[in-house]
Amino acid sequence: MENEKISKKLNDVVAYLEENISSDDVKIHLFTVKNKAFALLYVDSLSDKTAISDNVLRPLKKINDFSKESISATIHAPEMKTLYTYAEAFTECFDGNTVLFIDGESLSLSLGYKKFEMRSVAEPPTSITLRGPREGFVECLSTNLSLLRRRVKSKNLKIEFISIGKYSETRVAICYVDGVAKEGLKEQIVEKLKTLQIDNVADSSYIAKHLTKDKSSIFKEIGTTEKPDIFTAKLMEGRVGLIVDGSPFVLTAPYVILEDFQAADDYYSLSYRATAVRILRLFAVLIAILLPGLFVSAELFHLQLLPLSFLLTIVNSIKGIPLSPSFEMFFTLAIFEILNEASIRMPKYVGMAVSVVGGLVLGETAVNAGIISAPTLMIIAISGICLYTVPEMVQTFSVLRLLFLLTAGSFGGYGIILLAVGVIIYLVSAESFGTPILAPFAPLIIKDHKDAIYKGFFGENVFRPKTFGSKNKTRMRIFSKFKDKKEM
Amino acid sequence: MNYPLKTRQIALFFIAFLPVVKMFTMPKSAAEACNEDMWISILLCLIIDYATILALIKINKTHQKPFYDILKDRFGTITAKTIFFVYFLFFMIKAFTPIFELRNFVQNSFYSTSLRTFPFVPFFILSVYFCTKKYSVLGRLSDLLWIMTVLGVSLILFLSIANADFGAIMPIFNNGLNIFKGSYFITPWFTDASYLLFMIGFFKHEEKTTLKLSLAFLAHGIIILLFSIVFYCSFTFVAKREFFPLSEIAKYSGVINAIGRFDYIAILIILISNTVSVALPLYFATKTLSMIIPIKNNVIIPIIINVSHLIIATFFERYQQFIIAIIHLNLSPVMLCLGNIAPFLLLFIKPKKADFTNNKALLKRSA
Repeated sequence: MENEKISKKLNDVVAYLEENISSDDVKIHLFTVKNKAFALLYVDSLSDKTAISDNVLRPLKKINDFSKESISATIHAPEMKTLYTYAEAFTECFDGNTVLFIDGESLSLSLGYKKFEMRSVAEPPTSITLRGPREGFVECLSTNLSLLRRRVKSKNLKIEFISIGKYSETRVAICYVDGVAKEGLKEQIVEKLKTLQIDNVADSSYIAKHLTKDKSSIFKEIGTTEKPDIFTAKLMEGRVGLIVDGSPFVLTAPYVILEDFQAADDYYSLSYRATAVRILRLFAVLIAILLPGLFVSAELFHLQLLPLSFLLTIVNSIKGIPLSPSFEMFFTLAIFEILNEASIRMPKYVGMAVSVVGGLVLGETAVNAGIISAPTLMIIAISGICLYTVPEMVQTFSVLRLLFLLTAGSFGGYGIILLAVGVIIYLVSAESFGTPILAPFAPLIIKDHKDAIYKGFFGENVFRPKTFGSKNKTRMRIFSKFKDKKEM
Repeated sequence: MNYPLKTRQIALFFIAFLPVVKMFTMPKSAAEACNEDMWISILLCLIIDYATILALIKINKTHQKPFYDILKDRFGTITAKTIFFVYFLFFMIKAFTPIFELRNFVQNSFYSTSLRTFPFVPFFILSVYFCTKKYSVLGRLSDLLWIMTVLGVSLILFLSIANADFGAIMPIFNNGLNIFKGSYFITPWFTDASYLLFMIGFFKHEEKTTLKLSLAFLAHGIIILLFSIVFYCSFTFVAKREFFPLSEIAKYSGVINAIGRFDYIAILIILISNTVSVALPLYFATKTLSMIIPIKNNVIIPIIINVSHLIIATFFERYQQFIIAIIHLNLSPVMLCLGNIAPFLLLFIKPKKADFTNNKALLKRSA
């Protein structure tokens, strides 16, 4: 029904609009200029009424020729599009544009006078850096695209729009650098996106989950970032990006686990420091996931593995604790997770108090009361801190930590090994749009190890990562280097 | 053509998975047969395996198609399936010793103080999962886990080498024909070329394939020899009584006296690749059986194979010594024939004009 062509008679148009749009925030403004009737259709909360008045109503009053060309030339609009169906008119209207219907014309003009309130560009709370750009994406698609365009001025940066959501009609911008992104990757993503029929896209995570092959997996298959500098760098490596209107988290595909271990700071600081920090992150993650499980398995099954002095310390500290080692660890972990959840949800001023009460009072009191032991509390605290060294993977790692803890409590150290091997087998088989998520480690791509755990010096990363299969291999040329070689 | 495996991955497969499975009771068994000449027995087995590997590299170069296709083209489907069934039995038998060894090792080293017996069911659950995976996953596992093997073995050797008295392996050839007796007994631990037999046609022959695989096999040989020699030199004539060299070899290190069983970190690291290594015969048994009975659901065959081994490991535990004795004393020649001699026979089969449609379809299934 909505694909119906726009009627020539304005009365019919208005009748159609009134019949089909019965929402109080949608305005139909009728006016005549020298016996020629016009109708403006716009959403009150999304349109700039001053601009409509100044650039449409006032100029139109001055014209004598009412042909479409003349009207188009008279109106001052940053964006103007000719529409022929009601469906197009509705889409443009709900997107914030103003639609002008002219009596006697079987078309309408979409005029770009959007105006709505939005959050200003600020440093994203999830990826704070010491060095480098501090801008972060916001909820507005056009603002996000401007942040991207400001960084990539090339005509090769292609942006294609697609609408997803039966009712929300959320706009998704598919961004890629033509000639750099792997051939066929964009088409693959678009194909997959077209298979999604959903009422509303509340956040980009909906799209990410849809693009994920293994829906029950605890591991990601789509990368996310809130920072335009990281997003740009990922596009330049050959990935395809998705910016979803209404979400500050932009998506990138293909995803490799390694990218979450790489922070923006690594690229703006000393290579030595970056390498050391990456190794630290890796160890911290291993500690976060494995330490509670290893401690429980040692307490339950492998006391002989502990040095005698350490063993005596543990024995003294667990003396009189009513809970079993695994239940004690599980209980402490549950308390920690509850505190964590509460401190995120609570208002900031209350959150501070909760931290003090939870961290100091509750912990100290629980140990003194003999409910939990000091080593257990310390292990959970260390694990909790280590978990946040890779903030993008906190959810995955916390689930893994729990799994390892349960396995350790049931099967001990060898159970941990078996679960670790299971996770490794899962990870080496997982792929994100044909790219193994464990690349460049499995499969081993030696050339890509210049920016893996080891962070190469500036000038070492001459080529784009092989992992993403870009045909355009070179991303950097330092001509003096070649010159030096020739002279030699 | 897109091959599921790369030469590099097969080379790393040799380093990652072949040495670790021979570190449980193999050195002790070799020492039992020929004392200080045990390393010569091991060397003999390594040489036989290496010769077979060279032959298989040549076969891969000339045929460029999987083992099943070579047999089918030359002898027809029924013969090919029959031979695959024989190899299925071969892998099922080959799996016994490492599974028993791993179970005993884990029980004795990790659960000696706990009252209950370690339940081995999780291992078979993991093995079922592993057996459903394709060759490309095995290749990627090799890419990742070789470092674990190298790291773990290096740490163990670093901790134990100071206690070894290398004079203990002298004089050489002191045990005469017992060297061959040792080789005969430890043969089922080797016959590793059989794995490569099932990988031919799944990797491209390149200019440096022979060199890469030879170097990797050499590295694997060095690891095994070094480990066995250090083990014998640490325990000398009582080596034959040390059932689990892996947990015993570094026990008397000075570092351990100071900070506790530090060597268990190395053992845990080795156990990661060892777990995959122990499941390898079951993996290849799955591959062979799925060629004989092509079932769409790729979980059924791994379940059948693993459950049958679980039943044996659980209910026939008291007969494990008997089963191992039969395998190593009676079935060694059979293992040698299937693992080392049979692949040589493939050299005499002339390649038919390549049937690329079949080969492509097979590669696609395994990619």
